[in-house]
Amino acid sequence: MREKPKARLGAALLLFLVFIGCASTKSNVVFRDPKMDFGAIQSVAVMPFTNLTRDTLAGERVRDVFMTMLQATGGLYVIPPGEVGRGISRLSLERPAAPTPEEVTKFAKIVNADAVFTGTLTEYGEVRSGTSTANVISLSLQMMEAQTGRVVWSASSTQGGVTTSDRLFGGGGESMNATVQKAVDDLLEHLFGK
Amino acid sequence: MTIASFSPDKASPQTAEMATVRWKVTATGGVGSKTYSFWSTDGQVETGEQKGALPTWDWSPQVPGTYRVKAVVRDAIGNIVDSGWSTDFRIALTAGLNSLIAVMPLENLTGTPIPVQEVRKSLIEAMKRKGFNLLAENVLEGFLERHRVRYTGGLNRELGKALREETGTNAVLFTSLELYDGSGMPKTALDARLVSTHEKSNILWMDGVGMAGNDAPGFLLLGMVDDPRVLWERATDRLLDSLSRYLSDKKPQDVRKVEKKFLPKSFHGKPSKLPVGKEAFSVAMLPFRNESTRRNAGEILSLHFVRELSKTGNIKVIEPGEVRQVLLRSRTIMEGGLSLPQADILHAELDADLVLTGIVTEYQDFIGGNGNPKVEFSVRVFDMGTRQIVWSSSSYNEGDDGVFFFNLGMVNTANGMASGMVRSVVEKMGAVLERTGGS
Repeated sequence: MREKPKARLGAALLLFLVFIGCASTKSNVVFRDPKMDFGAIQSVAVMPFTNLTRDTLAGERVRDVFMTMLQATGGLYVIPPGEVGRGISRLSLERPAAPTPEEVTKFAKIVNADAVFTGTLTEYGEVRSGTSTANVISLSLQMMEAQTGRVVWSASSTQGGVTTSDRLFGGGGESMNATVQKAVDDLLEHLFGK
Repeated sequence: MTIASFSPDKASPQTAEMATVRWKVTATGGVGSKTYSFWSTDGQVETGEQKGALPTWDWSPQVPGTYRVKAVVRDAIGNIVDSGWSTDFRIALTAGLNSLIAVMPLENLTGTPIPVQEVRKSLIEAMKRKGFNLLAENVLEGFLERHRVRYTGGLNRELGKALREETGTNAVLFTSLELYDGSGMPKTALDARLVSTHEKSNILWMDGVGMAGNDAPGFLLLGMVDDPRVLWERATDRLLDSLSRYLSDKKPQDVRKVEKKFLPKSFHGKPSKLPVGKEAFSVAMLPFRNESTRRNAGEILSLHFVRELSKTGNIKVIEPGEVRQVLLRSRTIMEGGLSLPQADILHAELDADLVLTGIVTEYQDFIGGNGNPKVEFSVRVFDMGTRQIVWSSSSYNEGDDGVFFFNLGMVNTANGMASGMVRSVVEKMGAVLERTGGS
């Protein structure tokens, strides 16, 4: 009679460990400057992302999806990538993915932006766990105000990875595009304060 | 108040997409300043074309047919006088079945070496069998040599004019081969467009076809096509039938509809105003930036857009050869995308109202056996009136999207998928433009 609760506890612990070990990664960190009037921002520029992954084109791909989805919200006007490129060339920015506050203010004046986004892509591609594989993305974004160049918003999101169901029932998870859209959706939700 | 005269400066018939007919109305009597409005009808719909203080209207008909025109004049105190409908004014096709057509050397966008000469020869033979009036090969070769033509993927005005004057050619056929795979299950995809040699180098007709041997396997796989030559013949037949229908002034037989699965994954459209005095938006299509592993994917996708935009009938697509010429002349290099000063050049040189550009990140056909094609791209449209982006969308699909049983609904070529995806984008974009274009 006294063995039963222990066995149940053991089973529950085992189940918990299995779930913890196999759960997909999903983390969010958000900073929002309480003094900033986000309603005043109407046009934004998205700088090329810092790409820390092995896929050399991943940064541009994710940036493109982010720009389209940001524009699709209808809340902001996203300055075309060609205009951003022109601004970078005019200022001869050495590291456009990580501009200094002074560079941000000068750049924003040239392209007529109210805020500038920078981003870092730390993970992009397939991950393997045992025999299962799935796509994963890890992206962090910062928004800098055009007048002072200070960071007023930043957030990060990780989406995808091998889930429990992938491990138990197989399947390769979602496509890379769907995973990227989820991560960008997640970040936009934080940006617009939903 | 009476109408003394109402007449065009050119007699009927005139040619669609080329002629500009000036209608002039003269009214005598009346009080104060007058307002003139011009109306046209194709026998079914009456369209208010122009209203204002001008007693003349420049009419540039785009669609062949028989029209009648009238003018209504109103004076300062509200007296109205109507000219009554004019006699029939016929607008003819720019090219007909007897038009002399030059078939340009094939543009190989497959990214792999293919027997271009043989493929072109079979296309020309098929055209001859169908009774097209083709420019003799030696005459075309002589012309290309004389003018040192190296780019055969498009036509610019100067070249079109020279071709017309020197050889009497009415139109030029450009064929771009996108896929030609004879290994395993054969697959083929090609686009063709007919461009007028007259002053504006208008795109008269454009169509494309993408086929795989296992598109319709049918009962006991009896519908499978294993021979690449048979598949090629079917593809060219379908394309040439479409061209033949256009030249015989018959309605196109395009039954393909927008499929829900191909709709863009995210998009945003903004109202865009039709410039004063224009009947339709003119669009300059730029090659997409290619970030995929497939060679020429940028050119391929821009051709898909040229085709689908041309088919709408209410958007005038500027011939890609013309756009290329302007970009070369202005030495424009679009690193990182199109900037506003570059878009201004296109606007000034080509009178483009909208500039369409984008990025293709995936354009994957599987070669041989079984597989799953993938296509991913994003599109941006600049409105030159507001100098802002009025459309942006991103699309992504795989061949087996929405397929659950027995491969029903499977798309086997990237061409087939890109066609559906681009059609969806164009339809959504067209809906936004239509909603706001006339305002």
